[in-house]
Amino acid sequence: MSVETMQDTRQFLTNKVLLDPRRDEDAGIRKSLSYIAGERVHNPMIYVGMGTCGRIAGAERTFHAIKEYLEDQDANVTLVEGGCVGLCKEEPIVDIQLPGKARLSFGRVSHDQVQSLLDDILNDNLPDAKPPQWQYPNPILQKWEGISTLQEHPFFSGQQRLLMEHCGVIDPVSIDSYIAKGGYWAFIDTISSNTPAQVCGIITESGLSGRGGGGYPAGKKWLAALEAVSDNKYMVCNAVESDPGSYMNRAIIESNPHRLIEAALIASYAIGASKAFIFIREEFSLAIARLEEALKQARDYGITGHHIFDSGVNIEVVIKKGARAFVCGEETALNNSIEGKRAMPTSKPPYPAEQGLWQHPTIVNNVETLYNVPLIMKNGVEWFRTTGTEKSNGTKVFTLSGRLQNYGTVEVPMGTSFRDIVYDIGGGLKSKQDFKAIVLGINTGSYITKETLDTRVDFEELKNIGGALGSGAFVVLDTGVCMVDLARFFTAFFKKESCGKCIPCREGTARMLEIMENATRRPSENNSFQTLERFKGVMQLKSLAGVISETSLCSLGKSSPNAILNTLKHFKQEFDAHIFERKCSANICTDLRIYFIDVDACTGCTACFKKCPVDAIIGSPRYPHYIVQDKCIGCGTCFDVCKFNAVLIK
Amino acid sequence: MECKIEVNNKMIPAREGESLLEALREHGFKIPTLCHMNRFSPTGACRLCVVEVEGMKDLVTSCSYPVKDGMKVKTNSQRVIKARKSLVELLLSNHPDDCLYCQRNGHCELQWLAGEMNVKERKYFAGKLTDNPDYSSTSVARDPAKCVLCSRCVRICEEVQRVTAIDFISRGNETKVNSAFRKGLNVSSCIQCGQCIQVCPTAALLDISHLEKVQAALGNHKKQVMFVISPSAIASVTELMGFKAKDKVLERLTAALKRLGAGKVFNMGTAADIHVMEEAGQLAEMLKNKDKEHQPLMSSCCPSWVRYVSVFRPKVLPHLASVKSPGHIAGSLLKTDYAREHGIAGENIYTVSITPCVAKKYEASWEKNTHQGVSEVDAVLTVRELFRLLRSFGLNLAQMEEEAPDSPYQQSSAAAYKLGYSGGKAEAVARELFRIMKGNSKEKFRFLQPKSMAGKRETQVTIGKKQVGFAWVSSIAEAEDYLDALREEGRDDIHYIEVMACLGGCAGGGGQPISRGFDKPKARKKLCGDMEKTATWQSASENTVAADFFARIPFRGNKLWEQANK
Repeated sequence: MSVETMQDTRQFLTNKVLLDPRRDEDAGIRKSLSYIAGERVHNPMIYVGMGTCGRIAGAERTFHAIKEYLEDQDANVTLVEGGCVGLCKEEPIVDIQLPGKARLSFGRVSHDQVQSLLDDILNDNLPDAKPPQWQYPNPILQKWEGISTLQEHPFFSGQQRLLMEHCGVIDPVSIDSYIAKGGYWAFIDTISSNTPAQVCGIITESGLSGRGGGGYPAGKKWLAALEAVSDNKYMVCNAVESDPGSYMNRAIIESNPHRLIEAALIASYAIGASKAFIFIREEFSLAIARLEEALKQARDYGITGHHIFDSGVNIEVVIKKGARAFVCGEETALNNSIEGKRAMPTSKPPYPAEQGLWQHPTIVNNVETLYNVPLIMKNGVEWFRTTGTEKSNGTKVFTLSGRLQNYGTVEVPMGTSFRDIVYDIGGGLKSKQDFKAIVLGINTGSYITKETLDTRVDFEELKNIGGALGSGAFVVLDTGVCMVDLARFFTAFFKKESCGKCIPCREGTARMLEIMENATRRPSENNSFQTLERFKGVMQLKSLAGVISETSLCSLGKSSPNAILNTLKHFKQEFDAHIFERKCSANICTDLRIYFIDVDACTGCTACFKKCPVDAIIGSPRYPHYIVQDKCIGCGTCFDVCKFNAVLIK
Repeated sequence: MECKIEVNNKMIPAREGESLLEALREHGFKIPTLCHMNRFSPTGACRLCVVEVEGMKDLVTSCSYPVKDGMKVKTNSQRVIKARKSLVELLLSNHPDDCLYCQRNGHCELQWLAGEMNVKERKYFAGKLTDNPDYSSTSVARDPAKCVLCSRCVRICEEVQRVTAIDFISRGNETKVNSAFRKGLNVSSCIQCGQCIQVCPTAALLDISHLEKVQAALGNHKKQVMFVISPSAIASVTELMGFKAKDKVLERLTAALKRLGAGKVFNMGTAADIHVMEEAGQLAEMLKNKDKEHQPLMSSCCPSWVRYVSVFRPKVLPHLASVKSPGHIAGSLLKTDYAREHGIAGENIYTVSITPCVAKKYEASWEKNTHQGVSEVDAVLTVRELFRLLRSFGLNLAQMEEEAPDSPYQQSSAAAYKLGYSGGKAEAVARELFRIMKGNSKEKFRFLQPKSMAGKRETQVTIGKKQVGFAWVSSIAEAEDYLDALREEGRDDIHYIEVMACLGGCAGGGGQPISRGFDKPKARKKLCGDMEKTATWQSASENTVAADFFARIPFRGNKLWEQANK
């Protein structure tokens, strides 16, 4: 069976695939699907990784170079804007699939390499100058010799890609390829053969817990909303990913927006909601554009909207763009924002599952939680439980960043140890310095230090060491990072992002920041009051942090002193060194550096004298110079300009 | 459902589902709050009401936490006390700390809290808040530096008045309460009712003071300062000083003001009687002409309501009665009629109204209330300012002799006192209308007020064969809802609606002494009721001075709504 036109494709996909439960049995259908999904091709096909990470790395120029090349050559080649496979380090990634052959991935393809790459590969030769990174294995296609498969690549070998299976592989804004890859099957089957209560039961049984940081069982939340009596219910997808150091939700939405729509549909059906909101940050412009396009396609196909496939189910999906605010990630603040009010959290109870949007029962789920839902509905509870540990099922997506060799979005099964993620998937540390800590987000996360590096990704295990899994940030730090400065940065972030409603968060974060700034501020010799303030502040810091975490209104406020508390817990010496010895061991706090000139080494060349922005250096030519400490602002210019290594740091 | 909870090792009865704070306060447990307001949904912003609940990891705010049977609560554990104290210390860390120069010194909730929590030093040092105060409005002044962001003003402006002239702006530590685009209240949608001043715990919201103006006039020998005291102000002075209705507070006030150098002191009651007579006259005319265009007639004595209508609901303007408010009737009478009779030049008369209203300051600035740049009412003192004035001269009303106010505006009928609370004016107008319309019939006037404050606020009065519908609402939200309901149901049996912008009418006015909670308006209403009984006359037209004035001057036809629309 051949599928010629778009209209035919659509009819084929809806009638023969979505609405026919026996779709898997027919070999002909399977073959057609593999063509639609792009697994088999008639003509060569080129995918360019055009997620945000790819675009930053220059994918747009690469894309245009390829386009121009193809136009010049008048080649019959399909060019697709793809998503992100996860290895952001290698972007722009260009995938090339020739008819009958396995798909190849080339990393870091800049626009000037396009010509030689395509010259070779379109003539069936492997380019010598640019060896492919990996190939996608497929039993029906011919394998390239001597090239490792995706699973053999060190970055991917430790991963288990369930949520990200299509990321970077399919055309994100093609509903056809998503359906051909098995998408929307679960939704159609669910509304035709499961009651909402059954769906809630399945999700509860699967043990799926919230991935936004709280780890609250998703099924329990859904059941509460299902049982709440109301004429109107809402489903909200929380796509306000604002924890510093995380962008995995954005990446997977960009790479596979259709699955979010499918998940939102299933979740809405499960609680009896007729409207699902996807609340997404305004800055995620690419994710929004792709989501909007995907939603348009889904509407065209009749998968969302009124009376879906004559089932009597009505679910409308609405994309709601949110302002740039960290607090919008808090579910009650998010609901207020959707209602058009100022994004400020409200007290819980009542929980949104009882009284949420416009006082109606509402469930708010994180993007990653939702991405699991179609998989569980399609493959069953037992399948889902095979992944992960006893208590924590499934996988966890992290954004790897910091001082690592490999960075990007990774998906690991629950139970993977942090050491494996850092040293196997992440490829170890980039610099020669030692590993110091992993920051698992600042919102709900914690620090993993050298001692706890063998902990596994598991809600229970992390709880036992006094930490939390967080939302998915994974920032690896080496000894070149000052933990006090980092804590100050995080506190400044919270001070800026506090919504201003409750006293502890609004005033407390500002006071904590002042104390932290005092600790990292340049010492002034003649100001004993400042010294007193510094000591006093540090003594108050812990009790203040305790009050803030105990009394703040929302979870974001409660977590605002986490960075400081974690630093005090794991890196107390570093803190003390800043306060009492006025020393920053990592040499990051520039204010604490004291520059002085080695009289023996100084030649009196006057280079530093001329460059000093505050005239803190005195001396005459050919005689050693001297730095007046009271004037010095610690900018380091003299250190940089000295050719004789005469400027030293104390 | 009745249940029992354990508080500080003591079992107390409570109702399941009510807020923990209510249950605790009912049984005498002292729980400090800043953002809590009775009858409003809890926001949980100040966190001062935190208590320890067994089984909860963090402290919970009792204002928003529902009672559950058998729960164990600790209200004064070390943990709770430390948290509360830290919160107050945080609030004080950037407070301007100028209590000595602060108008609310001694009446400030933050000051009380600091005292209760035993705060002895400034624990956290931070730069003192500075922000530009906003004196642009004619009635309400804002000093954001003193603001503790409890959001009471924001909520009352939004939920009770539906005006939302002020709201939160900015984020984080920079959060402020401000008007739209930081433009100042004078260009905002503020209706100047002053309810925000009533709920403000600190001195972040104050009235625009006319005190200095009045003191300057008192010292100016060319000017003759004439005080006009409104009956509702008398009631609130009586209430605040702990007097009884029979204690002749007006006479004491008269003596006190005379000692300050007042030229004359009058009772606003006569003007109020004229006001009621005129409004009843307009109503009678409307009924006689079967004038559907203006039905229902709405009272216009509340400047905030007039402002609200002209800004938000211009379509309602034709329904407003076209009568000056009592204060301005008094002002114009003094500056024209009285001046002519006594041979005083109008410009040498300085009229000062004493009312429980801050919006009257705004009303005095209306163009139609001024002649050649001079207002009929030169200054308006709220009851709060009156007390400050008396205090600055060291006058104690309890020790004051009694002195009758000056003639001719000496006395008032019961109607004038009725203007002081919600529902009273409707009754006064109904009685007056009854007198105008009854002709020779011998039936008795009956005005049945539903007893409960929350009940249906309307009644039907039988006059001859005619049924006339009266309704009364206080607060803009109530007025809006009532008007919407009338329109939706298509009713035409209501002929007169008394609207007062403040909760409970002038008894809860924005110029009243600051009171926590909503009990004081009820007490003042009761006092007004007591004072009615001491009045010589029942109905407004029995006031001989008012009736005499009415006989002389055809008052009708002053089209207020055309000018109010500015």
